[in-house]
Amino acid sequence: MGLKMDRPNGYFVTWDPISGRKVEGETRQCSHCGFMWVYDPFVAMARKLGMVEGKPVVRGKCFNCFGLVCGQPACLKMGCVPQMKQIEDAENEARNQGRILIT
Amino acid sequence: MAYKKFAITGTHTSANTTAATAGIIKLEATAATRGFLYEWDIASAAAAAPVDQNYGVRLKRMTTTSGTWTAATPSPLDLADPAAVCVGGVNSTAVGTASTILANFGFNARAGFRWVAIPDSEFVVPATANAHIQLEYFAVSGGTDNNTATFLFME
Repeated sequence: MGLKMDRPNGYFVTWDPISGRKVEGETRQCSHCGFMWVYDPFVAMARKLGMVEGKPVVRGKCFNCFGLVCGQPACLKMGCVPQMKQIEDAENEARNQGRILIT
Repeated sequence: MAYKKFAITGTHTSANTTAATAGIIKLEATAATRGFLYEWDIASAAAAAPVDQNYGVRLKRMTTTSGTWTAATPSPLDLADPAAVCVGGVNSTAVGTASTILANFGFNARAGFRWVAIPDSEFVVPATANAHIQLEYFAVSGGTDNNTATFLFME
């Protein structure tokens, strides 16, 4: 779940209360930590070119699992551990905690 | 495998305005089953027309019990389904502990916010005791917090 290459993982909708316009967009998700962000390539490019204020947020792609990555320092430090692997590891760890070893 | 679908809904009242990270709603799995969060929304629950006010909310993945929640029984979307194994909680009155942030969003009180997952891109709550995903404020707002949130999930 969550690993959809570079495709969106969901959609959102809200409204601009001043103009009354509906605001829709798509979200992308980090294939490692699961962080989700609003996908706005045009704003990111405009920031990169200095056309609008704000620091461009660096996202990327993992060439090990070929999933999108959020680029957050804590996530990058973790390396390539796909999100579902982390979930399965957590479940296995919890199951093994209660086991009794009979020798 | 056909999943059963459920809804949890609850209102976060103004009593918790001072807690910057008080939980609004949560989906908690059990050791028996995973929970898949596929849709969530939040909107003002105020009786009067809400004024312009921005709220910052975030989704957070938790592995341990966090906050003081009011239990919310998930309602099946198909009335023929049995009760949910996952459990819900709303309106936490205590600040939760730090954990993995899954998303940050801002919305206007007069607008509300809705997010829907693409199939197979749901947020997964691992099948371990106390593991949950919660929606919470990440900043104290200038207005009166009185919002209703809904989690739609399957298991």
